[in-house]
Amino acid sequence: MKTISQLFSSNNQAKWRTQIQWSAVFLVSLALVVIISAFYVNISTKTALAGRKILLAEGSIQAINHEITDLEASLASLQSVHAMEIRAQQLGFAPAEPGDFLYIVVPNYSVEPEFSPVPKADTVHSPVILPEYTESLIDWFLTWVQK
Amino acid sequence: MINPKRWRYLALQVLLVVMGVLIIARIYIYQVSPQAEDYRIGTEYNYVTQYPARGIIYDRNGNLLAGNITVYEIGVDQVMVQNQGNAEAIALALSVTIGLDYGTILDTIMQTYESRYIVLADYVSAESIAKLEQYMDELDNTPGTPLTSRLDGIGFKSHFERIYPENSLASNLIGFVTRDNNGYFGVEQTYNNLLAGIPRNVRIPINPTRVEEIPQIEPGTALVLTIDREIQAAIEEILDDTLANTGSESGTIIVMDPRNGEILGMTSTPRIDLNNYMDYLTTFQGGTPFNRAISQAYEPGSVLKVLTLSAAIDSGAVQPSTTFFDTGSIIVGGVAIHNWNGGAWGMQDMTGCTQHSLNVCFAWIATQTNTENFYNYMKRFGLGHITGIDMANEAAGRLKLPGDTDWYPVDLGTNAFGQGLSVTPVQMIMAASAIANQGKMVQPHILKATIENGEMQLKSIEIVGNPITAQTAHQVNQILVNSLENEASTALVPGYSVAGKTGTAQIPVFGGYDPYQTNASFIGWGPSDDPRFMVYIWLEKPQSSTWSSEVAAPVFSEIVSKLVVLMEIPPDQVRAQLAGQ
Repeated sequence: MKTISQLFSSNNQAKWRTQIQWSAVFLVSLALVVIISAFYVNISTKTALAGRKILLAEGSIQAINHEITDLEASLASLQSVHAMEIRAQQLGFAPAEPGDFLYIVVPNYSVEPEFSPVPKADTVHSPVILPEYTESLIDWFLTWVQK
Repeated sequence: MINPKRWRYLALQVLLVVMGVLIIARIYIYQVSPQAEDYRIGTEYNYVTQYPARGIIYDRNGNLLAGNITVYEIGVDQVMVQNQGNAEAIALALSVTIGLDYGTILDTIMQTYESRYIVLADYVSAESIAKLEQYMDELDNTPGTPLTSRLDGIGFKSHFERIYPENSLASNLIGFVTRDNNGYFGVEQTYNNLLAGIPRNVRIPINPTRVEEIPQIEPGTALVLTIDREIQAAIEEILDDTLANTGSESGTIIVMDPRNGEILGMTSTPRIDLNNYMDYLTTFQGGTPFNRAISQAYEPGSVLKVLTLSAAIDSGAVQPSTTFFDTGSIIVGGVAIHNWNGGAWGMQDMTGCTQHSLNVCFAWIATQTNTENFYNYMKRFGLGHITGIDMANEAAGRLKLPGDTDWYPVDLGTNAFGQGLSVTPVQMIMAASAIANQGKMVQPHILKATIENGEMQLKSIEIVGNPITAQTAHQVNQILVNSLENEASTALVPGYSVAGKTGTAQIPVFGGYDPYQTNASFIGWGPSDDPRFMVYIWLEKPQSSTWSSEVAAPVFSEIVSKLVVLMEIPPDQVRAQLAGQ
């Protein structure tokens, strides 16, 4: 028994070494926590900044839409029938009468298509914020594993 | 050996642990407390009601008829203003730059309200706001400006207001929008729900990482109308000139495409500048309809003979070649009916009866059709019912029917030439579209397409009935063409074949008919072989002449002369060449 006890005793590490090992494990863990936290803080900051930029951009879009609407209304006022008639008269034009026209038969002439103020829009669906800014590290890891 | 200082380390460790636990517990309590919940609710979202921009209105060629402009609401933070003591400065600034009343503004700011934000003025123009901002900048850039002279606490909110760039053009059919975003009359009322969009109570997250949750408010649906701005302007100008020349009390003109029911132009008097819609109260007094074309029924007179003739030919009661010997009088229901001039016109075929607009002949035609058939046809032509045109406040008119307490046998005779019943101009043009469109009656409509979410949806054409056959339509069409040409009517247009009929109607008054005043109407279309437009004219109580052939028929000619230019319709001869190539 004494031989066995001596054997264990000889394999035991010195107490100070064990303490250093525990300290090292603690410090490494702490460092990991700090690094992960730093990642989170960094990503959160970037997300918040991007969100803020988007908010500002939304505001700009709204302001531009207002400006476009105002300009359309101004343009329409400038091009109103009455305004155009006055301008045409000032330029020396007069309304056409049926007798003023000379009709010529043009083979294969095709009539212009009717006015369409809005073409059919191709809707593009894209996320406002990239997943990198919204997913957690776990989400990212799972996505990476799936890929 | 036991370290004698170990208990101190242990005590320190325990103390730190206890402190840590207490901090974590406190954090937890903060997180779950009711106050925290209130704080979260108050700071996570802004709750606002968003009003979408009202949908814009175009004519068929994309010209803007109704749009929006940016205007501003001016408000103040009452708490900030009272703390800063700058109420007088704000009142003075708004008085000088925007023209608001100094005393009213000051009183408003100094009163007590539940909310700290007070609205001082709304619908302020962008120019006025620019002036105010310039004044504020000057104050900010002036060193030493006391707090009581600054304009801190003042704020602006932008929103849209309706604007009509064409002012009074097409006002009768567009209608207007009041500041509460409600449409009144015309298209603005009929399509109010589409145009106004749906106001939504939304919550806007304050957290910028949740920006995706910010709801997108789509503007109201835009409308493309069937009217052509140039045609509309032309008929309004012609109508105004006509009223001035004939001394008529009011007037109405409709131009419609008989192939599909699209209203190309529609006007009546009076009209208002839609940007000053409060003028409605002074302009439309005493129950004056906003749009006579759809809202005012009247006895149309001889223009209705086109329907009587159609019914008679379609039912087989008469043929175009059928003759009638006009003695100048006919008894229907025990009452004598005479011609417009009291004369006898002798032997006439259907073209002659139409050309001379003989009441006696048409009363006879109605009796030949027989009472039941006649009224069945009138109902099939849509008389007595609204047309369903997509405009507000349509009137149904009145078609008395056998069995009604106020129907008498003589009504068959008088109804045959458009007296004793009432119709709206739009009812007449819809009914006659069957003659111009090979028997197919189209529903008049003003909406050509809607634009929503960037996509345009075209409105489909609606055939609302086939009251007569294509053959009947062709025969009546030819009779109307011939009657105009034989008469050398003032409605004719050189180079173009048109079909049409005048109508001079007596006006019912209490106890009978007005012996002096008439309603002059005209219905016509062209080119007669391939109609692309129908025109209805109604002049109320013309003074220069009581006869439609003298006041309304020339208006038709003038309108058609404009239409063939604006619609690029070549003369008959050129069209024949084109057809033959």
